[in-house]
Amino acid sequence: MATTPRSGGAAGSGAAQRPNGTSQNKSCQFKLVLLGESAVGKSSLVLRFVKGQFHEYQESTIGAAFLTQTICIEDTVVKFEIWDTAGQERYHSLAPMYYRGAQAAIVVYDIQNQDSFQRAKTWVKELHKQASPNIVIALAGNKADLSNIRVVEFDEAKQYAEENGLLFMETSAKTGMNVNDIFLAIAKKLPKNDGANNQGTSIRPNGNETNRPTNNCCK
Amino acid sequence: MAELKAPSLQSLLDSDRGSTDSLLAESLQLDFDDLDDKEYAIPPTDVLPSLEAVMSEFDTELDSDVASELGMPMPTPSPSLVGDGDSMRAGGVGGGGSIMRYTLLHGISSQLSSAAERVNAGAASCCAVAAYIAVGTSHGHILNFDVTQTLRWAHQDKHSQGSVSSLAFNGDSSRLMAGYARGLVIVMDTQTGDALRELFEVITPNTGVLHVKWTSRSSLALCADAGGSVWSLNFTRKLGIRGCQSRCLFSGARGEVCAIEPLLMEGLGSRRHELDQYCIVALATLSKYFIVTVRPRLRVIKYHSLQGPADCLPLLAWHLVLIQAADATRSVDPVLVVGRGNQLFFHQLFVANGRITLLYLRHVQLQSNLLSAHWLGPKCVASLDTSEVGHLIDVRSSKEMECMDMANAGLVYNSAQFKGLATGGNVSPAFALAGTNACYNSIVSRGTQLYILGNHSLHIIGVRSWSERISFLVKNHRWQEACQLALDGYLNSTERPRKRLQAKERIIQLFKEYISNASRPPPDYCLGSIINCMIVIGELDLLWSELWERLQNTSKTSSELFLQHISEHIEQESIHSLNPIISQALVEFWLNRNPIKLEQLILKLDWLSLDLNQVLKAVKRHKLYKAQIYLNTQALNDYTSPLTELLPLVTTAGLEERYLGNCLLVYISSCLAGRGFPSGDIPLEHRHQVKHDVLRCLTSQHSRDKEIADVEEELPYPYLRTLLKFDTRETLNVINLAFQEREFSNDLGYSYRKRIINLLLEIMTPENATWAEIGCLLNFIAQQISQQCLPCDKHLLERVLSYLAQEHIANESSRQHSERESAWHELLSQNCLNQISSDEEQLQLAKKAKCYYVEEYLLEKMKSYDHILDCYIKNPSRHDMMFAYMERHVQEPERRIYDQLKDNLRQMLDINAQQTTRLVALHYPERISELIDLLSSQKDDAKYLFTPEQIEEFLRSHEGYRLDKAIEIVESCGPLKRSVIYLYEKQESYAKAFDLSMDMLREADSTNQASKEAQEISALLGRSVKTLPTAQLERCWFSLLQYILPHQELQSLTKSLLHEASQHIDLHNLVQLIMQTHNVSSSFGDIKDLLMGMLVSSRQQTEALRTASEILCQDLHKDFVEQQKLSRRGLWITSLRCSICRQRLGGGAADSTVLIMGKCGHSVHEKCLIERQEELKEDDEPCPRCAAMPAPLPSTPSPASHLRLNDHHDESRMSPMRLPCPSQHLLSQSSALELGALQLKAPPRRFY
Repeated sequence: MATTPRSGGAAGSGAAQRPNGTSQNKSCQFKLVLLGESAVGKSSLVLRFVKGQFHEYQESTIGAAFLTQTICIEDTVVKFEIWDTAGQERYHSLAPMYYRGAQAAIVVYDIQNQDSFQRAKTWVKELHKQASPNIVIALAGNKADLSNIRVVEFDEAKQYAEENGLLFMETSAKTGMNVNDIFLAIAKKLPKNDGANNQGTSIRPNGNETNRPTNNCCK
Repeated sequence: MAELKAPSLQSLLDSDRGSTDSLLAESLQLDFDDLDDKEYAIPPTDVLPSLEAVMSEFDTELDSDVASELGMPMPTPSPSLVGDGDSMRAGGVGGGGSIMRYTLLHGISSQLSSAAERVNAGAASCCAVAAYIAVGTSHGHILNFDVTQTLRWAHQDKHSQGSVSSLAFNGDSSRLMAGYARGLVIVMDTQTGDALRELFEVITPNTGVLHVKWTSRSSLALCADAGGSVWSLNFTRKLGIRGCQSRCLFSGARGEVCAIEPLLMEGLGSRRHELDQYCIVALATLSKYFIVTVRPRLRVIKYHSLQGPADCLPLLAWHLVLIQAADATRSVDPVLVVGRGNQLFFHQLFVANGRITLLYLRHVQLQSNLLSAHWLGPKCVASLDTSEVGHLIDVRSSKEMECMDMANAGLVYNSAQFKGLATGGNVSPAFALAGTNACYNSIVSRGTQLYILGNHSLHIIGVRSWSERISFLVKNHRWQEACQLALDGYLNSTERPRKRLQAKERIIQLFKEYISNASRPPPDYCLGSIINCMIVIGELDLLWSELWERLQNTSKTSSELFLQHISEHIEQESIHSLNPIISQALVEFWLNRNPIKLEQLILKLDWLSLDLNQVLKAVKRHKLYKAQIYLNTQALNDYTSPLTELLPLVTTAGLEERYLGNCLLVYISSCLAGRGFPSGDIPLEHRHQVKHDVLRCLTSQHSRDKEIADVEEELPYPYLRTLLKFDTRETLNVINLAFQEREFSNDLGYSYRKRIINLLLEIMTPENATWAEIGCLLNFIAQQISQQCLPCDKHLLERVLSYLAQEHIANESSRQHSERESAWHELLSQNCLNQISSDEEQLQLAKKAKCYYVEEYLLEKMKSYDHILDCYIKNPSRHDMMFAYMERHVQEPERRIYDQLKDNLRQMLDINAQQTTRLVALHYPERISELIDLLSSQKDDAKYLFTPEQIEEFLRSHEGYRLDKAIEIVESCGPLKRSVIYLYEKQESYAKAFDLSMDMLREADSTNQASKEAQEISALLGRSVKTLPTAQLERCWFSLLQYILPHQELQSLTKSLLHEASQHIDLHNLVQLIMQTHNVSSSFGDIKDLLMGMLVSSRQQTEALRTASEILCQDLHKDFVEQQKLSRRGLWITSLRCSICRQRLGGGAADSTVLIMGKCGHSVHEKCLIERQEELKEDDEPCPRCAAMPAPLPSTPSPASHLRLNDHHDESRMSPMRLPCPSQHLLSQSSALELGALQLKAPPRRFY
């Protein structure tokens, strides 16, 4: 009994591990939420990212769907817990439940649909108001494969994103264009290890998302 | 740890040889860790490792290897372990072999062996353990080791003082005192090994040292010698010269002291204890133990007698223990354990009101006698019993936790010292005997370790702490136990937050160990307990992330097992939310297996942890309606879509649809009442909206689909219509419940109500609903109106009334009828019908509709009481009330109770005769005769008050009536033949009973009844056997049979009746009867049995006759043989003279026969005897001589008879075959004993 609390490796391991879930400094976990009007392609975007699939006729989501994906950036394993919310108006009241604890959000609009862009803007506003202040928001203009019939101009969206400090990309779930990149960009922008031991990968405000990172997506 | 150890001890020892203060400070902490650090504000001591820490460190490495190497049995778990939760430390259940840890100190043991071999040091004899370990040998060597088991120095005795008998370190381990078998005591410097003092004559001369002990005063030591005396050694150092004053504290002459144990208050740290100022010693002799203060002055505080076996020494041990008194005060006081034999007594020593007091705490009895008893920490006592098995005893629960066989240790006994072998054996015999089991100096304890000295080895038994035990179990892959132990520890630390935190950390560590281990052997078997552990400590995240990932990587089955465990916990409601990853897997898992179970799980889970997209789709697919409703309402906050989606599915057809319908009814009801589904409440801010929405949805004119697609044929109000079609009554109930809500009680609410009622009426048209359903609705409306929940509407009322007053409704059940009635009654009592019709009209309607309750009410209201009783009588459900009504109003003349009673008396008697008569007897005693007359006048269609069966039962169950009267009465009553028969039978006039029965038989109109009657008769005849004369009985049977036999329809009975009859009547006659009366169609078969029976019984009778005659012949023969034997017997006579006339026998007249009494041998003339008998008027013929004399044996009668054998003419007197009198006597008495007695007595015989 002389050594109850101090014997064994308890003391040693206590120092090595953080009490919260991130047990190793090489892996971290983030909650990400997708928002946007219905039928802009949120579920398709996630499906492309998680499974690499694309369905022409994607069923509409009820409530919210949950998916996970793990990616590697440099030497860090990032696990995304993705809540793909339903875009229909009747499910609007659900969204706060999901974005409240989220570290990242992707607001999606359809480049052929001006309304969806307006809706995306209101989402961004809502996020700024209601979500956690450190949330990383990305704006995704989806259906970029149909850019010939676009309504929302790239520059307009780009400008809006810069004004509001958002990541911005035009993506296409159908072709897979920029899908992984936007997630990677988010992963890079997210603070690793919760500021416990900043190893240089802290927030880089000018996280230059255009330079292509080595796309080593590992399971 | 390694780098911690090296600098601390080594550097300390090397650099600063003189001072061991820091070591001391360290060792002071040892025993005290157990006290809660927080409570006592003791700072944590991470600075230096203690001796124990160092020891246990290499223990863990060696642990099992050492034991196996030495051929030592591994600690075996004993079967009798405590199951007490808080038994150990942080609390562990039972030992399971994980509490005691055995270690062999290799270094010291090998040093001891080599010392014995090389320098002839002899076997080890005693040891002492403090900051060093000192071992004394039988040839006077002392070896001092440090904690790393390196030999620091050795000391050899130059004075041939024999073996080292006792060793002791002082409080700071700077001095080592040693006592020798021949009386020398030396004090050495532990650093150098120099003998500082050599004290030759400090104890009783010519005795050996038994104990040396340091007291709490640094300059004071105690020494006990083999003479039983105790000496105090006061060390002085005057002017640099070391000296010693020795004083005898106790002389062995007044009781030999075997054990001394000074109280050392070390371990309290900076805290002061009141006992510090005293120097206290516990002493024990073979009969008593004492607590003594040596300083400031010698005084005995307390002594107790101590009994025990003669060969067992008393055992003493002190320890500071945290004691919680009954009044919740806590104190740290020394506790003394005193052991002798198999008993352990615990005493607390404390200062109360300035006096030192010893308080008895508890007593523990063990199974075997003890060699030693030592505290191992403040909660347990370790002891070795005489068979060298170590026991660990938990003090609080007084139970043995674990035991371990130490027989292979080669334990050293100090018997030689106790027997005084080195000094010539000048010790008392009692002392020498007790000393055979002395181990005082070879078993010592320190901290939580027990050191056991073997001949060439030193062993340690340690106590594992909670955490160490977990590690031990983990190492042996006993996960289940480890989890259980960990959890117990966690749960036991509820009130101590700091300890709890530590326990939690330990459990998490255990979990990590589990995870890192899980890959090798898939330990599915303890998955449950580890999950349970984590759930209890609330570390769910680890479960979801690490364990789940690990399991998924291993195998599918183990992850399924995981899900099953999780499901169990969800069902027990120990977890409410999951990680979405797990919930996805869980839903997937149960969907394939048991969707019903999935529904239950969903209902218990927080919706936020579910993947709504997945779950809602699955739930819809598998028709888990409840879950669907739950999720829709809870998560989507959508209370109408369950209705719009599910209501169209409701039909009354299948089981599933019915289930759904009921679910929805409950759902609607709870929504309208503001409650959640299936439990809980709707949040207050939504409640109003939800009610409104649900109601609007229910009453919407078109279904939601209708708005899009144009389904022309859809009837309006589809949802409400479906529900009403499904179950009208329950739907209306739901609406009724809803109406009681606040929302419906204001003006707006009334208009809602009205609207709904109108809707209902619109839907429930006769084309679309059965009358029963419409009835339900109208009842409902009537109720609503009467409760003033609906505004009165004349049109509506008329409609309702027209329903209520219907004369005849097809298939109306009594329930519906009574509902109708009560609805009407409600309406009436609320005066709702005033405006549309008068009471008289209503009365007429009610009469027509057979609504007697209403009628009754109306009559009552109109105060026309004349026929009110009729209503009661006609309404069966009101019969009970009728009598109450009459009772209540019997005094009121205007109600004319009596007249009504008179008119309806017969009916009332029919309804409840008892109540009626009671009423009459109570209130109208004077009119009973009148009523009876009335009744008897109506007798023509008399219905009796009692059925014949009742009368018969009454007769049977009662005694004490006069039979003749009863018969008279019953006969006068006409058709009560059965009762009459019974009475006749009771009167034993069977003939009459039979005649009556025969009448009944003749009158019987059906075969069934006839056969029953016939059986009755045969039973009756059977009963009458005893009383009825045979001839009459026979006649009866004949008349019965004569009636039965010709009747074809009673064929089935014939056989059994004939059988019955054959027992009672002559078979011959019976056959005759059969021959005569039997009709032509009868077959031989009917009488075959009878004839067979006759033959058999005739054969039996013949046999019986033969046997009887044989027996008779045998008897006769036997008697004859007997007689012959007797006649041949010789007789002796006592004298040749007649004992009456004193004449010679035989010499007289020739005609005088001589009688000889066979028993006594007296003889008389017959003539004399006859004369004498005539004189005395005696009939029997006792021996006159014996009768004259006082009989020596009055109990034995003299021969009662004699045999006359006349040789001349005996032809007239007796035949040769006549049985002798004794035999006759014998036969009548028939006692074997008497037979024997009589056979000895020969009958008197005639002599010539």
